[in-house]
Amino acid sequence: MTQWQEQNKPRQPENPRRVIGGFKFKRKQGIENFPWTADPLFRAVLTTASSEAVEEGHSYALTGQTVTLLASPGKIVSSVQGRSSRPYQLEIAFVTWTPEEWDQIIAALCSEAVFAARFLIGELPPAVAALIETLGIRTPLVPIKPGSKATSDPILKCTCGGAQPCKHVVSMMHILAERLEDEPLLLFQLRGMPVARVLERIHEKRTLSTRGENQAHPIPPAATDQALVTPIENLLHDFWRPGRRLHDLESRPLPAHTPHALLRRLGASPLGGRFPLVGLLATIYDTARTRGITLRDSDSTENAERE
Amino acid sequence: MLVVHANWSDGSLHLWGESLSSARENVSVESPAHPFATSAKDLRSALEPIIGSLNGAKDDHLDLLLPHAPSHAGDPAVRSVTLPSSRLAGLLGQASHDEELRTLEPTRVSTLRIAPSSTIRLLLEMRNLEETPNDLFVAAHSMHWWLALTQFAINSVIDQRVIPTVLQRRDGTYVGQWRPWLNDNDADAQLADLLASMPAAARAIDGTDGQAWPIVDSFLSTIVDGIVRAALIEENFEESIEDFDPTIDSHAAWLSGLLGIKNSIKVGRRSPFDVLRDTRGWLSVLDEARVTTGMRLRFEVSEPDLDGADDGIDSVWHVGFGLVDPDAPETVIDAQSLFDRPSGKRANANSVRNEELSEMLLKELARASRIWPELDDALEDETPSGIDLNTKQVYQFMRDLRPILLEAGFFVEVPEWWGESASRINANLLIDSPEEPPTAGDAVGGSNGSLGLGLQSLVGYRWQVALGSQSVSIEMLEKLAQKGTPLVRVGGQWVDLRPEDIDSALKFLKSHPGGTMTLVEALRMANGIDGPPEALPVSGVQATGWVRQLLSGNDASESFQMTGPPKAFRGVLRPYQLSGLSWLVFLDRLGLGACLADDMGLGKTIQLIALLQHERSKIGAAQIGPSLLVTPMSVMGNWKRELMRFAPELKVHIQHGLDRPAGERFTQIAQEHDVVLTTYAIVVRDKETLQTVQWRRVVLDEAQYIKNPPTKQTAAIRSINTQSRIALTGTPVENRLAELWSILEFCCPGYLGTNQDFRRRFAAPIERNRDQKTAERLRSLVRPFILRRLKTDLKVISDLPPLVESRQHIVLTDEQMRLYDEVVADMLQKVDQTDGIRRRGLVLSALVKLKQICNHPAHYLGEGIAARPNGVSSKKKGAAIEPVEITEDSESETSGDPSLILPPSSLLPARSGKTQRLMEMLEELLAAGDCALIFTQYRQMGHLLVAMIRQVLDVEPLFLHGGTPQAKRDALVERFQKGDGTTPIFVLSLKAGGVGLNLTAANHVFHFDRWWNPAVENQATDRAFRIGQTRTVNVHKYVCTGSIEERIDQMIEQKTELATNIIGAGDAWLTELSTGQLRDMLTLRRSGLEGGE
Repeated sequence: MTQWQEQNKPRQPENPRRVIGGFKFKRKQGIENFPWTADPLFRAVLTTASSEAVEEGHSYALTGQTVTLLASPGKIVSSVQGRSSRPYQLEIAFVTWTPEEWDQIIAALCSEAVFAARFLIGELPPAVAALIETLGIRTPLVPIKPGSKATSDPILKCTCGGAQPCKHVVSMMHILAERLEDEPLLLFQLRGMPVARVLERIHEKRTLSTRGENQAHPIPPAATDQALVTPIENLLHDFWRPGRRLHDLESRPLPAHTPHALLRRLGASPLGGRFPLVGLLATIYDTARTRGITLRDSDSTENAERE
Repeated sequence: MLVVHANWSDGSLHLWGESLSSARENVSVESPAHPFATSAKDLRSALEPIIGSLNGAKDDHLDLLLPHAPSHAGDPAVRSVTLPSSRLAGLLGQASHDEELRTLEPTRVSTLRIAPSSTIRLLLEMRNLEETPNDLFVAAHSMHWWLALTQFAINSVIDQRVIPTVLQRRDGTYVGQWRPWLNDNDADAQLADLLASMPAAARAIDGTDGQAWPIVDSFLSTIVDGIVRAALIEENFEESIEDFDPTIDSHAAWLSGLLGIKNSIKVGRRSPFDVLRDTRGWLSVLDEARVTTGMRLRFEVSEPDLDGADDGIDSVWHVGFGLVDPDAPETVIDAQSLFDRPSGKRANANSVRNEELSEMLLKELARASRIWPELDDALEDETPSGIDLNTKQVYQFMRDLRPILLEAGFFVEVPEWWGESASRINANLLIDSPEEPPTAGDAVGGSNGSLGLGLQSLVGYRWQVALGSQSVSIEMLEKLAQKGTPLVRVGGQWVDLRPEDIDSALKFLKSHPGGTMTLVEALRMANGIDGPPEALPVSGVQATGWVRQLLSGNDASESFQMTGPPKAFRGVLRPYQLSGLSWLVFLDRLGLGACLADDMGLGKTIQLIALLQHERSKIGAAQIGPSLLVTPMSVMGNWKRELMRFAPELKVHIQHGLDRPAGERFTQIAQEHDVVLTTYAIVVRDKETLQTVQWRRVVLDEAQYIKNPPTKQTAAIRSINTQSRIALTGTPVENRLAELWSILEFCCPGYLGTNQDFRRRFAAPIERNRDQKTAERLRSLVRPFILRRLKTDLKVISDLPPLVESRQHIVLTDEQMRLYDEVVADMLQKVDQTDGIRRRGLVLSALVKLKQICNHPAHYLGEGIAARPNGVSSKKKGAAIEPVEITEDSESETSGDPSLILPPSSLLPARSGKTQRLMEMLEELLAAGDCALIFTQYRQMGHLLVAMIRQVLDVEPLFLHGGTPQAKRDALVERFQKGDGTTPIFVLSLKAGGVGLNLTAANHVFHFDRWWNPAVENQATDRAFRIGQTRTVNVHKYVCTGSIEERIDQMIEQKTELATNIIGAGDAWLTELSTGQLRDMLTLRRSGLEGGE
């Protein structure tokens, strides 16, 4: 901070303004022994920051100067209260994985059921970082090059205008490290995808590979009734003919037809498109019905003529 | 002839063929490939002439798991051979292998993979061919199941039980798909039937685990998607989303995979997975009633309290809410009671429960309001217990909303009268006719029993419109129409009065003021054909006079005069037979044809004989023209015998044989007789001769033989001049539509319209759409002309003894007679030159041969014994080998059943009078859903019967003989007794199956050949006729006319002294007879029935 700047802010107090309800750093071990998910980034910030920033940032963290901290995909937006009347705005931008890299990573994560299982209880096995590295993806899971350059990861910005990392960033990094210790999966979000979405995509991918497809519809109850179908090994005496229940089916009257019954039960579409979907579906159902009737009755006249 | 199979694999229909000719060629080739499978090329050339080009189909192959039997061939490398399918085995007449030795082995077959675009067309072609056989191929048994599945898919589309859904495929791409919605109770029940009945063959794809659902799922969604998409492409639905950018609009994105040829979802700004997830969320609405547990909302519509005169148009209806447990819907928790403040000591416990329940109620109301938005108004109330509706609204609720609410799992109670046809507008036909029918009398110019004009008789009629049970005038209708409400009270009764119904009723009444019409027109109109429009259902026909009698038919026998038994009848007619006779007399007098379709064994023959006698007792034989009786050859002997026994006074001429009269001479002879008995074959040949006579009546026995489509034979029969026509059949003719038309076209020409007309109007809706209304309409249309009593009918059962025994007198075929004569001549010549043991041996062996000849020439000639599929040469039984087959089970066999491959000609039931008759009777009783035991003394004859039954009747008979191991016997008996209709025929050897077993599932017992000891036969009969039997048991004993069988049968019947010897000593007594006695005993006696065919 230059002299000129100091002179232009004569009314700034000695100590930062107090914040009520800010994020306080309360970790028992202090800044020692952060896990692998949090430690590299935190250390990298401390080593690149000036000792003054480290010291002040640390005390800011303890007094809870961090007012907000919002992690969105690839980015953290935070505000830290310093001596100025308004909190400084921080923006920490992480390098995100490209969609192709994500596809690769999700596919790799699906290969072992243990990953999906650990993720579900909020754990991130260290093997994940190694796995991502072996895929040849340039950006590692855990960011280690904080700075203000375009090539930094993450790129640190603060409205205080000071050299980066400034004390505000250092303060905020305490809180982030604590968060990453508790919620290691947050790293995925920092790399560009919400955690829930990662879990969903893993689930999606896994059902796709085990069941062959993902469906938007439920399976009918009869389909899962194992007692209905006799194993073919037990049908050697009657291998070729349909079973008795075909006769039952054919002698039972068909259910009555109610126009657009399903559509009326479905109600409005949740997809939120502007296209008038339900109206179009009604026309589609009627067109299809006409077609079905034509098919059902298709031969009755031709056949009779042949006779 | 080729058998066509279908399988579904990887989203495509595969067809593959099996054939007789490849079987013959390959049968000796020991190759692990399917010995019967055809090449794709052969399959194509068999199919294309019939179903059209298969250009889009590709040659492919499938690996299936098919049943194999252990191989007995020399090459040890070949452990097993593929068995033919049930259809091919039937065509081959191949006997079954022991089931326990069968295994499933991978087998590759060449297939035609059908292009997706032509799959539906091909399946529909197959469906249309189901009724019309062709010469090139026949569908495998499983095909019927595939067609049922196809029909199910089509019905889903027709019923709009189809959902647009999204799938993510294995490769990660997203596609739109139309598929059937199967999660409703109705659809699920049908799906369960389809899954449970799926043939093993349809899911025996190697590498899968034989599961039904994956195949059914893939098939149904492919077919449904194909149908819907084709319709949408044709109507250019894709255009409708053209103006919407799928990358922006999620609806357009979703629809982009559903409307056109391409099914991929265009990637929008949102991930396609979001579309999948949102679609899932939306569709789950349909399923939530099933998924969520707990109580269901119940609506109850209560009628407003009104006095009698109020028309109810302005009244207020209350629809009350309640909760029910879906598993016990009788107990209703009224919504009002939930909101009432509980008081007293138990209040606490109650209030917790009530809170839970009212929570459920609110949840259910919210769910229902998605379907019925007006419910939201009720929810504004803090304690919603019901909703008030005006008459118009309540009508809409009951008519439109109720079915949807029910489908969504809600319960809806409506007043009883709702939906009843009595509460709708309907029409009554009033027919006026005199007590006595008009007669043709002088018009025909004869006084020979002046017959009615039949279907052409004129009757007076007028129409009447009724609301509920009240008839109303045109003026009143018009007044009601002006009120414009669909629900109105008339005479204190609510009526569902749709404006469109009133319009069509008014229009119809004005154009049909009444007058006269013919009986045909009246009957057709009364049953809603050529009558009022659909909206104006005919609720009833009120007739007077003879038409009333006709319509009430035999249901109310008191309505017409009962005829007493004819004096000349030598026997006793049971009460139901008398009422049958009265019915025949009544229709005959009106000049109407009749079809007597009583169950087998109820005595159709004697009812007809009584009719012949009845008319002669009234007018005198001389004045009545002759009746022509047309029968299959196989029952001619029976007819002759029955006529002689019950009506010996009737003069019967048998028009049969090579030297039968023709031309003038025949006309002369016919006039001099009461009855001319002939066969279907002769009718065709002697058409011109028969046409020269004016017949009093033509009677067809086993009338189901005039089948559809019309043949030369049918045309010949219809061309005969006759005053009246009667058809006799034992099949449930009203359920067999092709037969029904043919038979009624004979009895009542023109009544059911042209064949084409009949198919369009009745057969197609009933068979394909399972249209109950049309079926009921047809039943009531034909009811006056068909009389069918079942052995189980209450009226009949009280008349019937528990055991009815009859003899079937069988005429030998020419081939049988020739063989019979040869054996007798040969034996008589030899016995004179021998004596002692040798002579006895000669006589006994001749006796065995004669019995075999009576059974079937193939039995005697030893055709078709024990030829294994791998080409072990068949044992030829020539004259040089003395048969030693005196009792059964003496045939030496090493293990299991032989697998018989017979030259198909040996299997012709027509070569033997007995087998021909047996097949006819079995077909009839199968049609009626009955079960039969067939006893024979000979294991080899049993094999022949099994093969013929399989070939002719296409059912799998059970077979038990001396070589059947105990465990298998038990299994056979258990399967038969299960009575599920899959194994209705049980062939047993008399010795092995005649004692001990409990086979009460059978209600027919056939003694195919005879054992001269009645006690042994009775013991066999008692397998079915014993404790646990609830039906009448019919015993049919087969006897060849003129043969040794008949001779001995008569002696036993007459209880001659000789007979007691016979019964005691088996066949030994015969050997003691002199040559003269032997000649007398064995020589075939001609009866005038043989030959000529």
